[in-house]
Amino acid sequence: MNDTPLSLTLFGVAVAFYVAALIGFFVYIPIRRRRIADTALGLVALAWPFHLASILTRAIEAGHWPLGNIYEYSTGISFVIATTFLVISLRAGQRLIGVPAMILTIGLMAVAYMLYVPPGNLVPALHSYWLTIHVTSMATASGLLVFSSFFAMFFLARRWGDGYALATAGAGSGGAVVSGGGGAAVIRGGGGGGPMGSLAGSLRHLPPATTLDSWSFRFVMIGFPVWTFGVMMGAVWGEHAWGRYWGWDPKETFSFIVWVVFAIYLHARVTYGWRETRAALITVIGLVAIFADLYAVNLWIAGLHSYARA
Amino acid sequence: MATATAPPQRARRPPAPPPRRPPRLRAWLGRFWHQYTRMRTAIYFLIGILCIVLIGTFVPQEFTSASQKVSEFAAAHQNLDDLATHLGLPLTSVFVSPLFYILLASLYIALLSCVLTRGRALIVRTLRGYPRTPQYWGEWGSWMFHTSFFLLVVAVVWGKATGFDGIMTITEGQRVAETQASYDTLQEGMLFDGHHSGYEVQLNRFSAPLQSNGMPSDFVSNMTVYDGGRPVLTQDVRVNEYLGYHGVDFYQQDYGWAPHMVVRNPAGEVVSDTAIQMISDDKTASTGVLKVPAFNYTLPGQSKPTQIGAKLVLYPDAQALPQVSGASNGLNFSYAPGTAAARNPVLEVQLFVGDLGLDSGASQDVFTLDTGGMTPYYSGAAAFALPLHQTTTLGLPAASGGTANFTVSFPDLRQFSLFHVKQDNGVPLVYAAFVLTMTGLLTKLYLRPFLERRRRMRKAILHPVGVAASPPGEPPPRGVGEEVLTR
Ligand code: HEM
Repeated sequence: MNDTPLSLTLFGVAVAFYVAALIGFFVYIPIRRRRIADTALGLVALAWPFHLASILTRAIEAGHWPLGNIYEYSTGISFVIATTFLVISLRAGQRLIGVPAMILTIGLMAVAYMLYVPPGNLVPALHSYWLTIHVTSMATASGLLVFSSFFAMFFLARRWGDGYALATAGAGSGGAVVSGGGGAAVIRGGGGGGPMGSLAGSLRHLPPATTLDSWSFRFVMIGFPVWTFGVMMGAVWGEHAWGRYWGWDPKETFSFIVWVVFAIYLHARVTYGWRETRAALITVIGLVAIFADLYAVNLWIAGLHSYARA
Repeated sequence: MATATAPPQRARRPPAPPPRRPPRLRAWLGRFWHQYTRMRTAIYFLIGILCIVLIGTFVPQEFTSASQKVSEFAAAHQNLDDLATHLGLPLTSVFVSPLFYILLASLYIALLSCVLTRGRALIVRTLRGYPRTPQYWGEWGSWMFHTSFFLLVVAVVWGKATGFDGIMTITEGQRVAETQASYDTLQEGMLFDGHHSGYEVQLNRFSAPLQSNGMPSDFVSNMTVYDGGRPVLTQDVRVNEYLGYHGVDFYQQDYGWAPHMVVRNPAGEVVSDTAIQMISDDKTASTGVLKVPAFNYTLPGQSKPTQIGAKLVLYPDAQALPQVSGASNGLNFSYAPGTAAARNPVLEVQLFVGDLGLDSGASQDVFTLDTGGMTPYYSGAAAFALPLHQTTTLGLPAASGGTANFTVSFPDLRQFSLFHVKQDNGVPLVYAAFVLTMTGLLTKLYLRPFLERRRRMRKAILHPVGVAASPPGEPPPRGVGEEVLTR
């Protein structure tokens, strides 16, 4: 027990690369050189195999599927986030999403480290295939759904920036608008002036609002069915282990809350007056709910599930 | 209520029947119904449900939290709770509160109207052979998804109503019939036909091997089912492995110690020979009660035979604490709990003599001893220690002025298992509802976009120029910000 397990060493290497990547993404906000963003992305790609290896070695050390306690679970979700980020940045050229993605990845791994549990046996209730399917789905869905909130936050920021520019341009103070190439670009003019103006100007480096909105929706589209499936598998496990598929246990209740929040989102998407700003705010509530589910419920509210701590 | 007011759009017929209601009311109801069945309303209902459920996670709930926490909360927030209860939302039982059910019912009524109208429209479209657009499949998906919630409710309600749910404790070596009388607690559904299956289950062995950290690595009940007196099934029951036979399922839920005690009265007759189920939070110290109503010995000067009872504490791994005084009759040792393993089982017995109060009907509870009509055997109700495999001889006054000896022994230590036992025929239907939910959701969210993309690609191949303008999966620009500025 005195030696650091290999899994934890690998975990540390991954975190170090992620932190370096995050610094890179921060630098990229004011200094918009493609090479900086690519370097940061490269650091994430470098961290990824260490992260994966950490999870795999942990599974071997502990002798079970590595989602059996809150350390393993947090590490798992952060892995889903890092992976998803790599995929969308490679396939769709999204770089700035690296800022929230890395903040959350590092944050989760920090929490994982603080709640570290040495590899060991599981309590009897956790020996189940249904449970394995359940926790894997929940971790995957959590990692995917957070991206809908990231994009929604970007969407809100971009909308605000657009609105600000529109207002100042409308006031006739002469923001320069240049159209060129395939798309359109706006060059910050004297228009807004002051810190607000420059903030609004830098927000306009984000992709267009409609693109951000559709990315946000896309992640609900992927994450919501996985979450739904995960909750159902939890019910099947509950039926097998305890003889009840639902019992309003705090953990179950919170997973239901998250589910309803995203169901509201899907309804809001097709309801006038709700589809843009409010829909985006709903996914942000969803983000809060996911993490309340993960940490508040596990650490402060007791229930059948609370052995996840041990 | 739902069927009385037809949706306004369908009032296409000429004004033949005279309106039964004043037209104003009718129009008002029509408008109400229209508003009520809008998606926006569904959003508000969902938000309402969300709020109630949120309360349910933070306030201890009667059915899921420790009862002590619930009463603590009730005591600390008396006024708030009273107010909420008046509003139909008792805070410590929100999941069964009137307000919660009203909200759910409202949502379901709106959902029903939506599912019926859209289902009818879909069937009409199918029957008339309209083209199968991606939109069409998407609507089927959405319809299946929403309909699955009805299936779910039917499954839950029907399963609970026609089944039962109870707790049964069985000691090692004991054979118990699946009948009403065998349960510690039992809740039968409203439509349960009252027929329990009647077969017997026997707990052959229980084991809970401990890890080095003192936690059990597993807990396992080896059980045999006897149907018509013949053994038909033997299996291990553990947390993730239940025993199911004839629609009744046994789930391992808890376990405890059951010391076997034998009492002989002064005449040497065995007047009590039982394994006593003990309760405990952790298994290192448990408490229980011994009652011997038919002790069959009358104390001098009394008209009725006396009874004896005892409060018991069991330490499976007792750690002796020697006390100051030097006498060594066992009275001067008291014990502290050790581990949960049966390494040195000792019972501490606090004996009482007198009337158990069973006739009054007040104290039938097997876990409490009513000592109102009894006197402690030792002054100060001191306990004596009774290690495993030992017998203690105790005296009572005899008619001759001498002593009548009786014995209490502890020949072996058994364990009992506590099972959650239930019959719920709705479970397969619940799973069917799950499958329908997933099928609908995947159809809506994936099949439709997939078909749309395929269609777009076909079009793009046929007419390479016309379609490229709007990127896949994205709605056309909505005219905000950049787009407006540039145009
Ligand atoms: C009052 C009850 C409800 C009404 C009137 C209603 C109505 C609708 C409608 C009309 C759509 C279709 C949107 C479209 O075709 O694009 C929809 C979609 C959806 N509804 Fe509901 N709904 C209700 C309740 C619920 C409930 C209880 C849930 C479960 C949480 C739910 C989950 C969804 C989801 C996930 C979608 C998105 C899939 C889709 O777009 O069809 N709905 N709802």
